[in-house]
Amino acid sequence: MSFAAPALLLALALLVPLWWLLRATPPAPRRRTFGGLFFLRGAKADKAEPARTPWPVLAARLAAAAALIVGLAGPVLNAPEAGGTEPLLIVLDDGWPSAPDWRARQEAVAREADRPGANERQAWLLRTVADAPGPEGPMSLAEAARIVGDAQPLPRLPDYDGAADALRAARLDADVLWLPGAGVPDTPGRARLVREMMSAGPLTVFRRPGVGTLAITGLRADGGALIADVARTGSQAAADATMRVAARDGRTLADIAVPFAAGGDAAAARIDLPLALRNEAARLSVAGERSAGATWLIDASARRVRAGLVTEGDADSLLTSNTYLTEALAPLALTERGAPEALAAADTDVIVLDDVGTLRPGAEDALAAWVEAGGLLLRFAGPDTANAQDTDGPTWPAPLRGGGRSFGGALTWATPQPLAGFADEGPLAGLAVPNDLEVRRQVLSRRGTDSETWAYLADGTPLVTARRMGGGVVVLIHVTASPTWSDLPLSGAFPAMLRRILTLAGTSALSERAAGPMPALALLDGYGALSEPAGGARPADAEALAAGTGRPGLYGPADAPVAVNAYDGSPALTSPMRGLPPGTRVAGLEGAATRRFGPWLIALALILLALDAGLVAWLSRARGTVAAVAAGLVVFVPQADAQQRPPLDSQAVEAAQTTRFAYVETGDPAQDRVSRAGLYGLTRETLRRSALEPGQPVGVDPARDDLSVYPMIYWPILPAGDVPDAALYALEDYMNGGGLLVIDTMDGERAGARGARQARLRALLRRMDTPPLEPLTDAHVLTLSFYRLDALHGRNSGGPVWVEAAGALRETTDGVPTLVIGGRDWASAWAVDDDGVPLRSPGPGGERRREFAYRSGVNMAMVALTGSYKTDQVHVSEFLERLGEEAE
Amino acid sequence: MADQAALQRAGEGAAGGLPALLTEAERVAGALAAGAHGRRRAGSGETFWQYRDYAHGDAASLIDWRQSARAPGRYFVRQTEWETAAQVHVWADGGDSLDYASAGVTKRWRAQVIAVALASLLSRGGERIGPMDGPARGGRAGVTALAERLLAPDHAGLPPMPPERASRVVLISDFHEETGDVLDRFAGLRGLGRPVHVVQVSDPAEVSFPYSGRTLFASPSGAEHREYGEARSVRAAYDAARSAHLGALEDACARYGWTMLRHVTDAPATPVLAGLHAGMAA
Repeated sequence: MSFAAPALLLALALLVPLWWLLRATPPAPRRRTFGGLFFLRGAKADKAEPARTPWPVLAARLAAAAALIVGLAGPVLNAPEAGGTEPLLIVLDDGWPSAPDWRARQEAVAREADRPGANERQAWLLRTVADAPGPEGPMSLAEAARIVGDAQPLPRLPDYDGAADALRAARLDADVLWLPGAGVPDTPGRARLVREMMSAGPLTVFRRPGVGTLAITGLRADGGALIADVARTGSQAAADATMRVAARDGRTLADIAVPFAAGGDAAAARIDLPLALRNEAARLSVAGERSAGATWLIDASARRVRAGLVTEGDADSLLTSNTYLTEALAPLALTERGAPEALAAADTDVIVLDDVGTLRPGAEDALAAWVEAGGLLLRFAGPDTANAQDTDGPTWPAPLRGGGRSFGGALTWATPQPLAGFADEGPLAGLAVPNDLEVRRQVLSRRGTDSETWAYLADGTPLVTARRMGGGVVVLIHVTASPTWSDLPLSGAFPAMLRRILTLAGTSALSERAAGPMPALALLDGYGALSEPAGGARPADAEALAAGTGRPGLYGPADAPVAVNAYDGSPALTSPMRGLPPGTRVAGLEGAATRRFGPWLIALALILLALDAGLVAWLSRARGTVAAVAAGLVVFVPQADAQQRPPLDSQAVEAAQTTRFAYVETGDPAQDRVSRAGLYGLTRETLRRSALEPGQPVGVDPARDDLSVYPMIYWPILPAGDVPDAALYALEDYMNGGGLLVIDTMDGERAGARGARQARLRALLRRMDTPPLEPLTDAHVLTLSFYRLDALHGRNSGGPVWVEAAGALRETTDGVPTLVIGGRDWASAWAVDDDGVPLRSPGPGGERRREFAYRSGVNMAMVALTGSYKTDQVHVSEFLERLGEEAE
Repeated sequence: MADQAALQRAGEGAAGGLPALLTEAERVAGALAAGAHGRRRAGSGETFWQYRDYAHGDAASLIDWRQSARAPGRYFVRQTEWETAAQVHVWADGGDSLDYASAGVTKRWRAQVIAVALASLLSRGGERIGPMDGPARGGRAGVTALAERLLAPDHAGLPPMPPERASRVVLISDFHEETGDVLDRFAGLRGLGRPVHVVQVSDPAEVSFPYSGRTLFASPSGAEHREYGEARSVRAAYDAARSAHLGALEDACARYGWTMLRHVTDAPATPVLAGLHAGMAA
């Protein structure tokens, strides 16, 4: 136990005078009503002996004072010993080798900041994983601890050369604390950095004993299996690590033991999975090691066979075989198209020939050689095949009988044949036999010497034949890959068969060459977790992808991403302790974590004082005081939360308390004044005529203010001026929330003409998501809601008034039309000054027109506020008729 | 406006208290009637007092012929002394200091209960009852009128002078006024030559003064405060002042031939009522 500010403890001496003071200060007198005060008039106030403070109160107060003093002195349990006074340079390796015990590094720095006297110490922070590392500072140690506490390890290796250069340039004179990763790159830069650190001042290296690094350094294909290379530092004992193979959705596909021999730094794990599972494998990770280096992202290159497809026709027609083959191969293989000999030369694993009857001799030879070398040739029959002249070559499983055979036609006796089964010894064995599959036409082969039948029809004729040739296989499907000869391509058996057949193909793990920059799909963090890239993530260009540099993660299309991994085995990692010069101190995290209980003591003091207040209040029996103390305690506690709430906009609060109309501030003072005066006039008239009692109208800026509290917003359109998108969004929201937006172009008869305001309105509406509109119909609720009107009159009555189409009215807005657009210049007709004197002439028709304008305004307000109620009223006669009909 | 409203509220409060006061007073008076004096009052009519022999000078119309027919040779006159009943005027103090109760009822309430119960008792005996500043009336009406008067706000500290026609005066108060003032007023009352009955009401806390510690004493109205560091230390002075004051009053009453009863509110009201009644009968 030690104290952050031991000098404060001297204040404990003050407890003695405080004790005297508390003893001497009498408690507040108890107030007593007394009827016999008359007899006390003669009795002098007797000062003989002041009453004593009751001892529980005295004890509580002294304890509170003591707790406060001790608490402020900052008692620390398990405090580290004092550090030096020199500035401290913290060199932090924030790469992935630090990730597994990142918290220990953060704690080490925090502990440095907790040392007594650390407040006066300057600190520099050098993070070695950066594009250009450089010391940050000077700052306080607490600040450095805060930065480190917020930092996360990056999925890269430290740049020791850069760090050494930066240190040399900075010429710091400071104690150095180096927090290296569990493994550090064994480069010349490391030695340079150590030298630079030694020259800056005494070097302390942070180390957690027994912690090493495990990293997956590569993944290669070996026949049907994948081999993952795993390297380690820190331990030389024979041990088994566990590597987890996971699918993209996080399912564990397999746990594979990685056997490290004693004294060995590297091991290989063989991932031997069925093809279907292997194709799903998306990432490898070493169990128990959370770091980007111990994570390997598997991309398409390791997952799929490369298929070459020789076919004709569109890939988007349901009649062509190309469609069915493309769809079936897509999840199984990377498909390329081209001429057969080109595909054979391009190292494909599978070549699919779709109804190719006759091959050029060169192609035939190339394919034969390729099959001999281990290729899988898959042929589909078809008219060309049936008519092929020479089917005796090596690229056929068996010679074909010319012309093929068809069933079920008008002139044939035989009925279409169902699929009877799969040969038990073939690779298709065990597949479910669909019972609705019919073969209407097929090619027939002569019995070959070494061909196998993998699937056959009910009459025993083969559907799939194959012949092994050298290291490869030639497979013939006796029907077309389109549904013209059979139902096979439409059946689920088709992709299942292809999947089985393609398992036979060897896998050549080729890296796919990217054509251009690829956007980041998901990025690795230092812990080896994938996350969505933040906004600033750069696409990786082709060179970076090819070289495997760039930010680790997945790039490109989501269905076939390209992976960049954090570590490919170079430079090799080594223990940070290796080759440290003499004179280096090695420090670990010993002892228990530092505990500060100053805050708890202060809290205790506050609680004691509150209890004391309650006790005094109780003693003096003044109930009001007890209630006040209790209320104070209750209020005190949630205050912290309450302060974090954003303050409510006072205007919105004001508006929410009274119904009021609003207008959109256009920024033109004259127009805003008219809008305001107009709504004021409408408010006056509404007050006078109806039960609606709105408050003073207000101007709003839709981009800034909360519109939801206004039932109706009036928006005059000016020919110029910009309306920001935020304002339009807000107005859309407002309409969706059931508000009534009245747009006024104020151009009357000219509305519809190509006036500036119309153009402006059109431009605005193009940017807004507005409901469909229709001209104001007869007997629209807007003309009936309060007054019966023939139109929505304003200062001018020309031009159409558009309202939200009746068919578009929604339940969510209670059937209220949310948009009224017109050129009637309503505000000018309504506008009055504070004394109710009209501001503008009412237009042709005189005061009678103004009266109609007010009526129109009242109607709009009524619709905005009453919603479907008024609509129902309009239709009430209809309802009554219907009810009558039902009653009959 | 505010004053009027306050007045009205006070009036309503008082009116609300009236039935309670009457009920309580009837209960107290009834207990007394059923106890000490019940049998004496049982029998013939209310107004009957006694017959006496006809004497020379009595008007012939005064002879009670029915009674006289029962005793041959004698003529009885019905005496009508009770028809000119005594006018008892009752005063219960309305001062602030009576608004105090350490527990149970306030002194004011008890003073009012005693006054009304006495009125009730006396009205059953045919006496006429009234407040100090009003007419005396008999029967229930007199009791009710007195009760209403007592409940009306009044801040008298010293007993007022009774009307000329009063035949008896009852003063109920705690008499927390300057000793000299009270004695002067007593002397003035004595000048009227009417028998006066004094009831001094105290709260039990005023008698025992059970306070200690630092105490701020406040009058019931809150108008007056006195603070003592140690309440226990003033107890002696308090007791001395109290016994001196009350002793002076008792001395004066004894000198004037008045009865003075001391009542503490934790005791029932009946004994003091009985004492009063007995004092009046004497």
